[in-house]
Amino acid sequence: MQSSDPYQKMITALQNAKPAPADAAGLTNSIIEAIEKEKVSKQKSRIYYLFRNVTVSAAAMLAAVFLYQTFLLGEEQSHTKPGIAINVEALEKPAFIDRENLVQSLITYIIDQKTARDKFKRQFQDYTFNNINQR
Amino acid sequence: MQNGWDTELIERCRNGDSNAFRELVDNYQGRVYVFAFRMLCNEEDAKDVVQETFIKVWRNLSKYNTALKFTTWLYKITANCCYDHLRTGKRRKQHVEIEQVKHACEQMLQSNMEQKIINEDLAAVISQLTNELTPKQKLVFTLKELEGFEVNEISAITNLSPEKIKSNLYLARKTIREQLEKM
Repeated sequence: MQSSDPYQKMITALQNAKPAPADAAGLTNSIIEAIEKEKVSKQKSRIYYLFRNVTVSAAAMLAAVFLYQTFLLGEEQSHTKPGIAINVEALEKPAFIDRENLVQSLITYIIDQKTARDKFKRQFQDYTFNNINQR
Repeated sequence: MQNGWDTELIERCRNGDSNAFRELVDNYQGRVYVFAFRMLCNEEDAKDVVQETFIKVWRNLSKYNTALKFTTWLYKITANCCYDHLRTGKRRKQHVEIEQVKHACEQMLQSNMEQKIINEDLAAVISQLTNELTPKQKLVFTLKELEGFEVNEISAITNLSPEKIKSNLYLARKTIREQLEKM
């Protein structure tokens, strides 16, 4: 039923008039293109973030190991085989840090980007709690 | 609540599936465009909002709460984009000839609704009728009168209380009636 109220008539007319974009497919493509670009830049920034962390953490860890082995261990101990987690003969003495293991874990970390951050954190924590904090 | 098809599509999009997202855009682009066009009365601005909206959807899909209807969430994002355009005056200025508006109005008010109206004329009419409204009034008016949402849905989209919606709607209707009388 047609309304005689001009307001209602106008509203009905406006409801029925459905504008459409001139190039709907082009618009869809531009949206998809934009999100694809965003995906790539997100991946790039994630990789950058991971590597940035690797660099900073690795540098800090290596510096810590160097200082630890240079200044905290006695001469005799530092000439013994590095990398033994616990000094069996003197449990009260601080343990050694395995440099090779450390480097290896960093390499693994870089290769396996997906789980790298968590793994690195875990390993770092393991070193800290299992080795350094033993004393 | 959505239907199973929507839920599955959204889940695929959440997993980073671009093809699923293309499907989603194809399905909802029309509605978003119509709403944006009615709000901004300009084809290019409406296209910008469509693009902006879907990029925001893509970015925020992980935060989307599936308890909320997808269309409500989509309209919420679109409404925010349109509202920003209206408030900050980012819109492209469009010159409207009063004669063009009168002609388009007559054409629309004729009983023959089958007649198609071109986007430019439609934009001119909506623009003329709603140019005295505040962005909030325009948003409420468009959602209620043109998009056909209920007050509670508008409340979910705009975060306005039902009372505010009703008062904005009242003022919008009054202003539009006056505009119509002038024409």
